[in-house]
Amino acid sequence: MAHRGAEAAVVVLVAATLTFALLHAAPGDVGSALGEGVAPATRAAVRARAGAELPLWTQYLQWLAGLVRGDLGWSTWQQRPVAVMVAEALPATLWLVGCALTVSLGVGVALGRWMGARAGSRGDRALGTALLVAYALPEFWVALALLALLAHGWGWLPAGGAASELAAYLPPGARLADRVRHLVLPVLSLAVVSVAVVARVQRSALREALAHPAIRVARAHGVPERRVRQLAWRAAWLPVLTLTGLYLPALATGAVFVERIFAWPGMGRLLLGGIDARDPALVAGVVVLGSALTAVGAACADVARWLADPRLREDPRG
Amino acid sequence: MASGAAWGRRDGDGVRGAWWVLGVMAALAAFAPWLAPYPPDAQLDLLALRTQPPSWLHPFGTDAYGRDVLSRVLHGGRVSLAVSALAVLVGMGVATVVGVTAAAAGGRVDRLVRRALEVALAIPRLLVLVVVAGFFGPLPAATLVLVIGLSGWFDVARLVADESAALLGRDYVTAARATGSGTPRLVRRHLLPHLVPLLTALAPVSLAATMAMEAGLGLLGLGIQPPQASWGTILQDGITAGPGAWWLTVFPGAAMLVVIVAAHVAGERLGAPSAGRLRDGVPVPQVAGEPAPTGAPPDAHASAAPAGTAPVSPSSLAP
Repeated sequence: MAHRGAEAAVVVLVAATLTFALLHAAPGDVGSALGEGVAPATRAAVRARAGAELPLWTQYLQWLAGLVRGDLGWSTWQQRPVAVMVAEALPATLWLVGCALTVSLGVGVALGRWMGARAGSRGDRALGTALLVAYALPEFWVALALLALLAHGWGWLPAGGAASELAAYLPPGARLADRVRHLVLPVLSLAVVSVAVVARVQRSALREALAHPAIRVARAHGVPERRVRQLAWRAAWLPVLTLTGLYLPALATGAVFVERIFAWPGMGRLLLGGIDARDPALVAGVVVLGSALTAVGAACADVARWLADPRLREDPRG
Repeated sequence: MASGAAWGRRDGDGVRGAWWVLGVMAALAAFAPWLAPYPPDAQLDLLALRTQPPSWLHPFGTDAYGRDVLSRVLHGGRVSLAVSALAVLVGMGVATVVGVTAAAAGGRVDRLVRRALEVALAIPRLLVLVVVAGFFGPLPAATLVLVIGLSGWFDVARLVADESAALLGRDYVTAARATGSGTPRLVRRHLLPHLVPLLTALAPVSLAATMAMEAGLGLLGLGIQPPQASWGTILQDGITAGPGAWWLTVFPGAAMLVVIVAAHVAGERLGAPSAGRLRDGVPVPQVAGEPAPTGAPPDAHASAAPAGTAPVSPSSLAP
């Protein structure tokens, strides 16, 4: 499993290098960000203090060294360390993505099991068509539709933010309910698509597992059908784990849109704010951390699969 | 990737209808200047027509600048579809070259390319696009096509490499090689023609994902720039207009929905060209002119790497 960690490290390094290269190739730097009417000496001093006069290689290595130490640089937009801003925004995003993943795994696996056990039936085909549509939709489309219907149209749920403005004054129980109400639409926007993704893989994995000779033997021995399906599912839920790892980058992309549409105070909104303010350190920090979390999540999913699958564990090459 | 079998739908259900729908949408976009009742950027009446709901004169309503939304959706479709289609062409072109090269070179090159593709796929695409579009932008449409196209071909390249490797291992290729055909001729005569079914099945799905990405960038203010109409910029107008102006998001959204769903249904033929793969434990029915299955028995597939059982990993081509 060590190679899985190395692969994640390579992904992070490539993402970091790409981000650094792009941001340095882009027009403008700390000097020009000061605007017009600044004395050339001041401009030079600011550039020197930010290290912009150093050779590119030195800047790159210093920046990487900073990343490793957890120093993401200085935000020119909010004039405070990027690491602090990210630390404020990260829990909201993890909370959002975590809830969305939980919902989509739970619902997706349940739907996929149901469909896989009844493959070819009318219910399977009807649900399949519905899920095909859900699968095809972009997250932001779902988010806009939910926003228009449930928040603006019928007013059932709040349209944005992670909590009401005066939530701090609510009693603890009501405060929790308020947070949950704010969470529903963003989570649903992400989950609609990923439920379809999970259900599809679960369905075909279960069908494949049910076609396995061992299952025929079990049935021939008179094992009850319920137990047979349980046995088949034991093998068939492993692909779902692999899928979860592969799906994380797409989920990160979806989260940026959903955070924008629901004004969710997370990493995606921080990223877009950094773009608007042309704050390279902030943008680089969010992109690198986003890629790193995605890569680590994917590696964890693979390790989980390895732990859950006795065939992989006993394979001497694994 | 939605193969019909994987969704419990019969393979080929509605595929022809989906291609028709795509054709109609393309025609609507192509003839937008003649179909649209008003110019897309004309501010018709800033006072009387400011953010008005749908009416007989303006069936899709008007936006905050008094522009006719129906005209903007038609013209916007022209921009969105053109940008996405060109980006798909760019992406699939690069993907085919890289995939075929990797498979034809084989050995170390093949392994290296596949590793690189895996790494590229693991980086969230939007994050990179946002950096490029945000710091180099606003990007002109041609650059946008290149940027979107060049950031979205990795999954297609992997599929092309798989398919090419399978095709190159077939008997007629060995026979051609034995009669003295060089690699360039093999690729041209015996490989590329057989990749066409795979590529035509991938193209519509790739188009749907690319269109979503283009509209998404537009919605973030990083794609096609206002006042030019694209589905993304109309959606952005809808978001900034706030609650109540539902017609600004519903109509471009519905147009996108039609194209995206039709494209996914049209791509369902994907089940067919995946040589030798077993879908859902059922052998793929043979289609004339198609390579015969070369794959392993079903249980080998069930136990081996499950990501490989579906020709497209489900994460791929998702936005």
